[in-house]
Amino acid sequence: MFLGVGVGYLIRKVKGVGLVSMTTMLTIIVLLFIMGGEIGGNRQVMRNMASLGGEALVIAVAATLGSVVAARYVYKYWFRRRGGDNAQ
Amino acid sequence: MFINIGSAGEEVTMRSSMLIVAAFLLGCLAGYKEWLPEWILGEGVTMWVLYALMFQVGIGIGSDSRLKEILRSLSPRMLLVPCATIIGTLLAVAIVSLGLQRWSLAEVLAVGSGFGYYSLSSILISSLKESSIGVQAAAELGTIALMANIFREMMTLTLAPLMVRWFSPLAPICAGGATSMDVTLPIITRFSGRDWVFIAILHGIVVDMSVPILVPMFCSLG
Repeated sequence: MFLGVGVGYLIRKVKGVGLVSMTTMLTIIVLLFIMGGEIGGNRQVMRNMASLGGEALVIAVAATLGSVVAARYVYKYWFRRRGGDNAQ
Repeated sequence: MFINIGSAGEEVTMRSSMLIVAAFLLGCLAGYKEWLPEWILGEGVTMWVLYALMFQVGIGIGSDSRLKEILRSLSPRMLLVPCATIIGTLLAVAIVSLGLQRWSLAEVLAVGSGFGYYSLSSILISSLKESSIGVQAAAELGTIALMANIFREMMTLTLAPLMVRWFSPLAPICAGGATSMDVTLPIITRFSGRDWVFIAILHGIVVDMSVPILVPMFCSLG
């Protein structure tokens, strides 16, 4: 990935570098299709889907709650308006 | 979720996230019906495509025209916002990992450090964990990562107004995680206000870059 960052920086002026976001998308789609194929072909994962979904929901709620609580602290101590300028 | 899409591209991003879910579901169907040849599902192909993906993610970050501008106007205070997201997420996820007995702390942290970037995090987890916990468990953990991070994005999209009211205008930005620069940006702009757009994009870029670092790190910790 870091090699990519370097290469990306060097070729940032090259026309068509924006196409990388499209090929990235395509690669992600291909990989998720393959991953779907692995999961769909795996009977045990399919059977466990409900419990996996439950675990996913618990983690998602915790992750979201943790970050909004942290957001509140950062806002309260470092961002609360000083003289009307809110964001900068 | 995707690098380099730009401010006019939110609609495109929404469409592409539907495309991603569709690709995954179609893959599930193809796998279930056993339409796919064996060699595609082998470890080798996925790993190489994954390397190609990481390289492209890197190019996307390196060539992003916003990168320089953002690095220039960076202040330590602004970096507190992505730090809050990362620390808040990991702490809360560590707490609930006590109740999830099937998975180790590091495995649950790997799922949490997807920060809404469900495509990349689930792919990374299911391929990197394969050697240590086996194909079966790795596929299940990858599925959890996919769903957990999709849920996170959906919660941000639907609960943003309440988050602003209860937890400050920064809340939807932090909840959005890596998606605060694209998929959830329109919602953030609407409910937190225009003043926060710059911070949301900066936050998205920093958190986005942390995903391919933190997820493999937690995967290797066991």
